Amino acid sequence: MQNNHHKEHLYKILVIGDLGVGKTSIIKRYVHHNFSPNYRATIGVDFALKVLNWDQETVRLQLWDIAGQERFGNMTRVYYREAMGAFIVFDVTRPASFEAVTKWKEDLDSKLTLANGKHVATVLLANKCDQGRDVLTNNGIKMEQFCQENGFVGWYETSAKENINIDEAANCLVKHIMASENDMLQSEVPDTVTPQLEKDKGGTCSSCFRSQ
Amino acid sequence: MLFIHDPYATTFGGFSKVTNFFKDALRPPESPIHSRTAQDPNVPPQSDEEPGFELITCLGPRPDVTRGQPLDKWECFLDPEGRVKNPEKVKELVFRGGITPALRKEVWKFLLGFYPWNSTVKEREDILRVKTDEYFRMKVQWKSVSEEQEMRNSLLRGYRSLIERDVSRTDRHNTFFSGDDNPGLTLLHDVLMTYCMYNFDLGYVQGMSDLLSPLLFVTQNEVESFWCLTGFMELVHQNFEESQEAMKEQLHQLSNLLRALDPELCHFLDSQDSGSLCFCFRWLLIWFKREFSFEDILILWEVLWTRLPCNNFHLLIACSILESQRGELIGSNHDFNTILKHINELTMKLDLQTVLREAEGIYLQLIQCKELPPEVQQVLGVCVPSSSEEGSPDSQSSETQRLLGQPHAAAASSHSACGPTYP
Repeated sequence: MQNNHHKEHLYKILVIGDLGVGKTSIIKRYVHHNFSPNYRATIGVDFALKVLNWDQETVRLQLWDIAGQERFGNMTRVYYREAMGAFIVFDVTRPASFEAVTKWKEDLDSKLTLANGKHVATVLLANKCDQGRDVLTNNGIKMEQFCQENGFVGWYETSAKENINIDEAANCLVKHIMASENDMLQSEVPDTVTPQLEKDKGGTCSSCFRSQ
Repeated sequence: MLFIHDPYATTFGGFSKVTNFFKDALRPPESPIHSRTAQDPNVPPQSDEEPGFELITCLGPRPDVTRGQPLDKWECFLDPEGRVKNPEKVKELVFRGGITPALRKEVWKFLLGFYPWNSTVKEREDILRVKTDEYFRMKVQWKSVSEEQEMRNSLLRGYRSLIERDVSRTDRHNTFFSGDDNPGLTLLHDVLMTYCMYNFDLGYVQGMSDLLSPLLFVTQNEVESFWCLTGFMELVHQNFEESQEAMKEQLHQLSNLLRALDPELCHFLDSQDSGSLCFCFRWLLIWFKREFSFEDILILWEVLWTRLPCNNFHLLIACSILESQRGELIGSNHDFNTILKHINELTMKLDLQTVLREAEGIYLQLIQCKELPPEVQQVLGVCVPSSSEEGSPDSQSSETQRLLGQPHAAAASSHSACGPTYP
């Protein structure tokens, strides 16, 4: 039967970036297909689920909305763990939010690595592109270069308000997450236990079963 | 280890609320919960070195608590010059039943320390005059900064930018702040900017607009809402400090309370790496503002401003909500991620009166416990003898006697005398 080959994937994806760049709006647009200019500021963290059909497989995305205020970082970053990918968002109408992108990326990479030691796939989102484009995103070559230098797998001009490029950006991220997952599966040496993600629970019989 | 000789233990079978320790102890060894805790050596005693901390055997039944009518007929509480005759009585009534909506505008100013309880009507007029001047003096300070000046003041620029972005997303469903160009939005903005001038070191931090909006809604007045905000911030400003030490401390205190109250739930949370209770961050930061309806928040906050029955009653509110979710949390086998989701999704689903009743019940239940760990006593504002941490058996038991022998109201007021009193 078809179901025998039906695979399910669950990916935890972080959505980070400065305060007020539109992280919540992007998630709401992607998951609930709507937009409001009056979403509340996120306090702490929140997440929403999106289910995708992907080549006859099911992909469940947990989209983690992380509050942008730096001072709450210590409290919110506990939720970075086990993430497989990330969006870093900036607001094209506010250059300062772009300047913060490298800071967010460095922070992400320092707090989170995959089991194979690589950084998680990260897509850069230049949001609010309906409100005019800034000089920087006008220059696609420069942006490509920026992505290469800073380890982004891609970038998109997005508008949560006008529903521009959100699905495309998500598909791009999922594609890269799947690729890195396959990478890890292939490079995994049999008979070795990789304890990373389960390390806090290690030592009990039930977790031994889980890692086999 | 087991203090089964506790007089409560003999009557345990008859009580519906049996401590979970007993449930654990009585469960047959092959039951899943028992075997899990037995097998998992990693469940830490959570920064508590005291052996047997979880074996609190003295938790009696949770007393039933009733809520009261909202405070009304304000003039009955005032003497001919307008002094509040019996502030403690007023606070008690507010704690028990909140305030009738029409009186909030007046009583909140006392609860938040804008007016001293013993001030006369005449004195209050003077206070208002002085405080109005002071407010506008600070307002002019940021209003008179030119654009060019602001270019060279990154701190002020930063605060302004944060405030502008948050004002537009604060309680916009409330008619006081809805629609474009609503004057309520300008008030939010101006009061928050002036607060930055009042406390420039702290400045604006996300969450503060959530604290101000009910104050503005109730006072309908820029100056009064500002001074009410400063009174509120006296209680919670540490939540917003850069170090976040106060938030960590409160999560730690909450965890101590919960451990005394419900070890099984704590075991479960520990087993899902959620023992830090980081999913309660939003609750504590802005005093449950996002968890209840706007109307309920007015009641909850006025209850909490009375500082009864102890300064940390907000942590007991948190315990009350967590307790109400224990079955769902443990039963549905939530993990680290979905625990947060479940907790976040409680928003607008909780019944405030039930939460308040249970929170007070938990308080009463805990303070009646004889072997309450000192750190829990401290959170509850029950004086720990200062001579030694553990205290001699004599001093401990006499302290307990004192607590048990006193009716609730008297105990509450004697506790508030231990810690800093407010206002």
